[in-house]
This record gives sequence, C-alpha cells and structure tokens, in this order.
Amino acid sequence: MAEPELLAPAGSEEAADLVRAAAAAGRTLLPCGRRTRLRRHAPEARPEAWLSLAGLDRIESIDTEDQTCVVGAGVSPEELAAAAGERGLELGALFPPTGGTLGGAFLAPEVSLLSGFFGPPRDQVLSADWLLADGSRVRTGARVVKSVAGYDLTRLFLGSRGRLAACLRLVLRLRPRPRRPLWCAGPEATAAELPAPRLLFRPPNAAEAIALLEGVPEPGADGWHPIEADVGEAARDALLAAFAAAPGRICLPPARLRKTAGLDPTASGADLLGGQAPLAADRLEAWRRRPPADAVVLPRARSSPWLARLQAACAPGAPPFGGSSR
Amino acid sequence: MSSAAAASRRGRPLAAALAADLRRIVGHRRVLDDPASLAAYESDALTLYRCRPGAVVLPGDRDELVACVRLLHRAGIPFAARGAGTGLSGGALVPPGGVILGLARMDRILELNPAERWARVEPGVVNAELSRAAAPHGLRYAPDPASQAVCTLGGNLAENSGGPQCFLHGMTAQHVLEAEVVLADGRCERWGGPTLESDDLDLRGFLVGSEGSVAIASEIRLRLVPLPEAVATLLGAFADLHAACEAVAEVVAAGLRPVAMEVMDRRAIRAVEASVYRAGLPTDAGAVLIVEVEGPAARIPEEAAEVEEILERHRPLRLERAANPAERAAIWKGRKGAGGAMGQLAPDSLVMDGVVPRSRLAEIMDFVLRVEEESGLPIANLFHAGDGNIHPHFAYDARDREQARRVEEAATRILRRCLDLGGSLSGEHGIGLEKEELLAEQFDPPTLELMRRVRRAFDPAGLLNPDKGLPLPRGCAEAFHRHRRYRDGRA
Repeated sequence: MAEPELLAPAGSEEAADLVRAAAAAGRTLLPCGRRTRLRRHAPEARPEAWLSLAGLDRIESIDTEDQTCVVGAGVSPEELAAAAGERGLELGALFPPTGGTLGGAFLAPEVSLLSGFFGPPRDQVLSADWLLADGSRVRTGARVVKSVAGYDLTRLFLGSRGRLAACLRLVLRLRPRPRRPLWCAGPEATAAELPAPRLLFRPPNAAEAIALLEGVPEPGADGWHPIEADVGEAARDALLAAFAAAPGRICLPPARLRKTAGLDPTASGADLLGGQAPLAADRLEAWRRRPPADAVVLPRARSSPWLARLQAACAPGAPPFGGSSR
Repeated sequence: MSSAAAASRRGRPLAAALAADLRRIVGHRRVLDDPASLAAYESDALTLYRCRPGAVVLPGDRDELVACVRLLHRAGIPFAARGAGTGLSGGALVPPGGVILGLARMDRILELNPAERWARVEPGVVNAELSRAAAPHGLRYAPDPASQAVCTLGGNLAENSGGPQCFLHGMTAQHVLEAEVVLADGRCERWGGPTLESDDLDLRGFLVGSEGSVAIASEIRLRLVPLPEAVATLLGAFADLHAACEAVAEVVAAGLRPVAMEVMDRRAIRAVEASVYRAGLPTDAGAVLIVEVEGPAARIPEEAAEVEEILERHRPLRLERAANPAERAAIWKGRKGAGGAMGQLAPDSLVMDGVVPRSRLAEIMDFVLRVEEESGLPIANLFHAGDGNIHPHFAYDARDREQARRVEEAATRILRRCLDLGGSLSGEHGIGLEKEELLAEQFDPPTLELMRRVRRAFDPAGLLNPDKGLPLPRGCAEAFHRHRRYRDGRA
C-alpha cells in the first residue's frame, strides 16, 4: 500500500480548503502534527492523506495578567514553555519530549507529569478552534478560566486522536511557575507526609522517589532531603523520556500503583501523584484487552462505540477523519 | 396571553394509563400529579420561568429510574431529572405534559474509599453531606456552591457547579471520575474511569455541565481532596468595589494561589448584616474581599502575609485575619448566606451569572454600577472574583411588570458586556432557559448547529430535558410560559 500523501497547510484557511476538497472527493484524511505520536495512538490508522497542522506554529499572544495564551496547534510544548517561562508562567501540563506539537499532545491523549497537581491536560484548554471533516470551522469554549455556556465540545474533541475534529488553535490556561521551588528525594513510603507536592515521581531504576515542593523551607517528611535543582530536573526528564519511549501507559488511583500485580514502578518509573506508569510492549499487549481492576490502559484496544455516531454528527455526509472507526 | 402560555400555567395532566404504569414502578405515593404538589415543581430557583409538569415521579433507585425512563421514552413524553431544585437558570423544567424525575430519594453514599480518595454516590446526595461523611477520613469534596447545604451532587454534575473554592480546586468537572448514566432510551452505560485520565473520548467530561440533556447520572464516582493542614482567612474592607477588584487582580498576577477570593459589595454586606446570617461584616465599607489560603502549616503564615501585603497596597479601610475557626466560620456563613439574605429584600430575585477575563473584573463592575444608576434598579454584588465570575443580584417584585421587564433588560446588558470583554454567559449556573437566546451571541451558527447535532446523537427523539442550554426553536420559549407574571397580566 502506498504511503499516504502529506498535506501541510501553512494556515487555517488553506487547511479548510484542503479538507473541503478531500470531503468533496470522498478522500480520507487524518489530522496530525509532526506524526511523533501516531505509532502509539493511531497505529492502525491508514488514511489516504495526512493533514499536518504543524505549520500553524505561531504563538499569537501570552497574557500575563489573565495567565492565558493563544497558540497555533503546531507550536511545540518546548516553544511555549520557553516563551511562557520568560514571563514567569508555565503550562499546567508537562508532556514527554517527542518533538511533536501541542495540538498532537492534547489530541493524543498524552501523559502529563502535572496531572496530579493541575488535573489532566484537557483541563488546561479553555477554548479551541477546530476544523470539522466537511471543512467547516467551529470555536468551542471561552477565553476565560471558567465557563459552562453551551456543550463542552472541547473536552469531547480533546483526546479523540483527531477523529472528530482537527485542532487549529488553542487558548490555554497558564500557571505561575513555582515561586520558591524545592527539589527533594526520599523514600516512597513516607511521601504522603510531603506538603502538597507539585511533582512526585520515581524515575526508572532509581533508589529514591523525587518531589518538587513549593514555598516550604524543608521537605518535612521522614527520610526526605533537599537535592540540587538540576538533579531533580534530570530525574524528571528521565521519567518523561521513559514515557516517550514506552508504547503505552497505565492510569490508576495512585494508591494502587504498588498493589497492581505485574507492575514494577521502581523499574519502569512512575508518576506517583498522577497514578501513571509507562508500559513496555509485552505488558501493554497483555493488559490492553483486560486491564487490571480499576485501571485504564492506554492506548485502548478498541475505540468508544460512540465514535462513529459522533463522527456522523460532527460532519454529516463527509468521510470521517481517520476513516471509518475501528 | 397565548394559548401555549395558558396551557403551561394550568399544566397538562399525564394520561391516566401512563401515570398508573409509573405508579406500578415507584409506588402510588411516589407519583405526584395533584395541582398542589406540582406547583412546587413548576420552577427551579429562577422563578422567572415557570411551567407546571404533567407529573413528578420520585424513583428510589437506579432500577426504578431506568424503568421510568424506558416507559417515558416509549410513550414519547419529554422528561428531565431534578435534584433539589436550586438551579438558577431554569434548567430543571419540562414543557407542558412533561415529567420531572425527582432524584432526591436516591441519596445514598454507596462507598467511600479514603485510601484512593474517592466516593461513589447516588445523584440525590446533598453536596455538604459528602464532605461531612469524608471529614473523619481527613478528606472533603471541594466544589462548594452557595446552596451546598441543600443542592444535590447529581444537579452539580448536570450544571458543572462551582463555588468559592473552585478558584483553587476546580469545578465539578475536575472532580467527577466516573458516572453510570441512563440514556434517553433507558440504556445504561459507564462513562469515565478510576482516574481523570480515563478514556480516549471523554464522555464523562462532556456529560458534566450538559444540563441534563445528554444522559441522567444514576451513580457518580467523585474525587475527594485532603482537608488542609492549615487555613488562613483574610477579610479586607475597601471603600469601593473597584479597589477590591484591583486587589484581586494583583493577587492573581503575583502568582499566589489562594483557595478562594470572594467579593461582596455594600448592598450585599448590609443585607447579610440585617439577616440571620449576620457575620460582623463592616457595613460602612463599599466592598469586602475575602481571601482564603490553605496548605501546609509551614507555608501558610508566610503566604497569608504576602496576600496581606498586596491588600494593604490597595488602602483597605480594615484588614483582618480570622483568629480562630469560629471567626472563619462566621465569615463564610455571611458569604454563603448572602443569597438567602437578599431573598428577604423583595418577593423575587434574579441572581445573574457572567464571566470576564480576570484582568477585566474592575471594568465589568464599573459597568454594573453604571447599569444600576441608569436603570434605577438596586443591584447587589457578590462574586467569585478570582475567577472573574460575577453574580449581580436583582431583588425585585415580579408583580410589577415594568420592573420585571427592566430587570431582564439590565441583566441582558450586563451579559452582553461580559461577552464584549471576551467573557462568557455563564461560569457556573448554566444556560437553561434563562440565556438560551443570548447563546447565539457567544457562539457562531456553525458551532451552535454542531451542538444540536451532537445532542441528537445522544437523544435522537429529543425527549431528555428538551429545549434547554441551546437557542430554542421559535415558539418553545412561549411554551415554557416565559415571564408569565408580567406577560399574562396577572400582576
């Protein structure tokens, strides 16, 4: 089978034209960014063409007063981190470094090491502009930190792996960077005593867990001790790299990480606050169809039965993004 | 008065055979269809909209609820779930002849798991009850709407309710892990999972805030959060609203993360102090700002001092810190009782809900004051300042048709201004019937049409809480007996 064509529009209008043309021709597209997450999140996808939105790579604005930003879906998490960091802000989601785009990370659904503190990545998206499979454009959400007007289509589209809509532009909530960060290390057994950690994780094959605290002079938990910031950051990056390299991950209530038979968070590394661990291929295959009790294994073996109905609702008559759902 | 409006006032009784079938499911006394009982269900807490249902059915568990839904679906009768009726947007009403499914009897906390910090509840559990049950385990349920002493968690889910603490802890959507739902045709599904990272299609997240029009939650798993180790509650009194709002903006910009930042204006303060909710608030102040910080004991004194330093820069008339839990409780009693206190000022009230970007808070409050001056209507203000979520409160007499008209006009002006400033029509009350027309000013036609199509994907027959949350087809608003108190001349 021939490799699908790569359509790479430079702007929203061009993207809409390409989608309309594809819809008219009955041609199947799958939106993507730089295609860094497809192996994991859409390995079965066989579109007739990719629609890469990596060209929509402009940071339009960063509002320090309201702590929000407007970015094209093709902006990378690293670019946003640098621009926001200059203003004392950061995104409330910390993604593995895949070289991909923010649009791809939010659509994936990708792991974030800040989920345990700020909630999952989708909680960081206030509003977004989307392209539906018939080429029409919609805007969901509102540019404020709190809105319940209309259906929350933003949540429905995020995590859909681009099969309901293609993301053009995101309005994201930003958070103040930790004002007095304190990196520390210690035993997992007493981590519950730590005062409101922002990050709490175990890097792969490490003897101790690591935490990032804020605004306290010392860890205040048995066996925990301060460490240099660069050591803590290197440990964090090692865990992110492990998530990036693993074909899947398991999510479960944090208290169950240690109790789940077959999971060794010490070896694999784990986000102890968010309750997530990277999964190697053998374990992923074993658990995809029958996950341990009360656990979610991603990517899932099958799509939600609602996908096809929602695809039809989003763009009636047009070939759905990604082709017919599986 | 149109015939549709007349019909909705009288109500349209349910067919006797259908009522009998419903009684067989829930028991004779659990189907209400006499006019006196139905009168209590003809509106929620927004009394501007009234429509008498054909019947009210009170299922006691999931199986009864499912059986009722299947029956109503087969009969083609519109229906809506209702919790405690504290909604503020006219969300839990049905068109004439429709059925209200009152879920207040489904009030069991089914499981509380302190180790994993979650609780599994039926939808009729009262919000504050869950925190009470979790407290012995050092936990609480964070979303705290002002009506938390009576409102139900099922209603909170439907509306994505907020409250003061949502500034730090997030809305209901950030706390619902999983829901067992009953679809419009009676089928049951489970949406979500044990953690918030639960699915590829986030049906759980889409359900929260869908105003009861996508599915009815028959069981909910909710996240619990630890009780804070330390709390500091500050009360700043300012000469005017503008100064209080500026102080809020500076606290946010400084990167501080209080759990709540609440503002009350002079009218609200005086209403509280004249009521049973009296909290010792300064009645000479133009506004008070309540800021609460919570967290590790090692951090809180310093964090509170930083907040105080910022508030001092805005020249407060008074600045106090609650010295003990009793003083803290009194402050919150005053804030949360303010809505009730203002209910004593006039026979009717309209609590508006709009949102602006946080940097525009002072600007929108200046506009509210202008509307007050130009309309001649007294407006009290109490709001979640940290989120930019305003709640202008109109106390009025709906028997005065002209006054009621002016109230609605003034409220609409304020909401339009919220949109002009880049905000939203609702932060936590929902759209319901109240703002369905205005929604077309927040979203463009393709987006609204998409919302309608998605809704039909979940409820093709359009029976589940129909005509709410989206602009109504022509004629439907009339069927809901809109503004009847001043339109039908019953003043």
